[in-house]
Amino acid sequence: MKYLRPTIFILLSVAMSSVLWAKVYITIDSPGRSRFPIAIPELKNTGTIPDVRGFSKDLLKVIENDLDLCGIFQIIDPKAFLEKDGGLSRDEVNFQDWSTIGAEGLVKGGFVLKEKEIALDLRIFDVIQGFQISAKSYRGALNNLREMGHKVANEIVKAFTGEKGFFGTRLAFISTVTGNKEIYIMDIDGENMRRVTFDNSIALSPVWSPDGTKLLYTSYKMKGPHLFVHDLITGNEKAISQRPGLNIGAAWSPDGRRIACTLSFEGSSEIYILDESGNNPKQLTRTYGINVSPSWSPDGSRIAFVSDRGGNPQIYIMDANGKGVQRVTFSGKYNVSPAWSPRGDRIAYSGMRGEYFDIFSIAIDGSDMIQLTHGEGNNEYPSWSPEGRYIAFSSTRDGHPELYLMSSNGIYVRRLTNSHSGALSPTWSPR
Amino acid sequence: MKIASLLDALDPELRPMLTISFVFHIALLGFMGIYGRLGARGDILFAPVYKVNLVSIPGEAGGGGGAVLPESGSKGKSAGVELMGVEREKAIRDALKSTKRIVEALKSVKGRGAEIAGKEKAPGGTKGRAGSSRATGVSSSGGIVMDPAISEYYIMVKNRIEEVWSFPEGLFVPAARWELRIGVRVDRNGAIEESWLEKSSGNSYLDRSALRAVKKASPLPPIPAEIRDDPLDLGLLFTSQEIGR
Repeated sequence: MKYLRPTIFILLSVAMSSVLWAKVYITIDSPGRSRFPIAIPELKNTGTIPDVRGFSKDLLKVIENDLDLCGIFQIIDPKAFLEKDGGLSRDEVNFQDWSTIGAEGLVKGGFVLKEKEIALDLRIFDVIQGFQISAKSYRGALNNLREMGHKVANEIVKAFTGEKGFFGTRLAFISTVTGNKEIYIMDIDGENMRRVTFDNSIALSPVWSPDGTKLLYTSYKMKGPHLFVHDLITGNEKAISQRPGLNIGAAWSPDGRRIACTLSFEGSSEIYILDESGNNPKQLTRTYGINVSPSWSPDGSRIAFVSDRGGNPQIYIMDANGKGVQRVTFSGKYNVSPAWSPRGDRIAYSGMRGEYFDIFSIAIDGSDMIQLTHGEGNNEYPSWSPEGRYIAFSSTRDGHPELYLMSSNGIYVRRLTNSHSGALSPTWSPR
Repeated sequence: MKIASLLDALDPELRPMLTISFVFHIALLGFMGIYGRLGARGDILFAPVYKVNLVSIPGEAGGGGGAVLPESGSKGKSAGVELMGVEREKAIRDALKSTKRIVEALKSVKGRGAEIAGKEKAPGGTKGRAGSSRATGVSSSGGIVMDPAISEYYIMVKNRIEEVWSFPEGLFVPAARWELRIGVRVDRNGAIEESWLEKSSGNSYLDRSALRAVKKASPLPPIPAEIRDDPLDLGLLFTSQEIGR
């Protein structure tokens, strides 16, 4: 008992003081700005050959356009710049000058022109914290400045978010500009649009080979529908499956060695796996209903697909051997076009709500459904960007179908095409 | 000593047991207090009432103080799934844009109109491991009572930092749920003397965006007389809104 009082006293004071000293935490959860303000001064010629033809300006234009497109950056108007003619290195940068005009990021570049190429020394700074995030050197052909610009823009996105951007990737899609449905490809920034098929028929569902050199698609050009592969490098085209009945909605496995598709030569439309040349069909589904639109998980072990086995079209997943079928969507009466995310955790799809299709995303266990578009026209055919941050889709929100991209939570949306006729069913190329 | 005389009055047989029990409880309290200072348990989370209420508009989700850190918010989450209607998404999304609009949005919420003017400044803090803003629905009922001038100051700090925080939601990796804690030391004039990362979100790029916001926000509003600390140590809990990913 002798030590009771002092013990109680000590313990009591410790308890009291710690309650009194508890720290207050203020919740910060509503960012006032959705883009990082970034300053990109003119690239500096550090070589001997003057840039009379303005290559560095063209390069800068590609970079700025990319950074604007991705929705992550707000590019500060150069008229606001306080620093004139500053150097490239950290010691030569007056961070105060840049933070005063509201910049959080600063991109500086010095270039050297040669006969046919340009070398660029790139520096990326965190203006607020006053340090260099990244320094890289690039070398590129003067007749292919776009490629170099995309690489630089990817590096800038990485410097601020930890992951490269999608610049330099492409979209394959269907356009009705000729009156028929033909397949086209274009760079993600809308440049270099090129017609791929000249079938004068109906071409559908283009998908990229994992190496980005071929497109697999469905065409009615020989009655059909049949599956064809188009080599984007040689222009060669060959039939993959011309079995009786349906040959539709194909998808390459991530390793490129198998093709999942829907065939109906044995009666009902079921999902099969073919080898890369279209032979040795292995039947995965057996429900005597409709089973379509296979989409592989990024590791190639599972396939998401649409089936009406429950009475109406819903999204299901199964192992790549056809076993372990699980229903994913339960909300809504018409859910189609599943696209498995590159990170593997979610599936984007389009579902009918009321009169219109909207795009949704759901965890593969069927939880955490998010509606990404909200009844502005029909929103269909979701396709993920290679790193999984964006979803390309087509929408009739502006009248006829056009291509759009949005952030994977649906908050940032940007229109990509202005076809005046119809562009739909985009699929995003691999990197 | 009162405690001693109280013990004397008791049956001698009960005394040892009661003493042990008393010491044990004090020790437990002390332990919780210490743990709270080091970790998160004893910290007071300040989330203004209007925000808490707004997030739980669509349903009764996010009630009790227990569910907090993102993983354990499953109760609120499943309710969110059911209620993921266009209106809810839009309401939240629009409201997120600025605190002003949040207050306005709240004004339109049925039956709450009258309370708002007062509650905007009311204590929103809650004790214990009540973490994310969504789960702190307990605020008005079970919270610590805070001087209105002090809570007003906290709201001003919150607004100031959010105003300058640039963060492209949904375009970050991982874009799912996260939280990070930053400690700041503020002088009487509101200037941030020092800021440090207490707990990372796990993504250094995301941490940096929050650290930049804190630096940009300096000076904060001057510290009101009701707060005596000089300098004042504050905690900032940056977290996602949990809308989409």
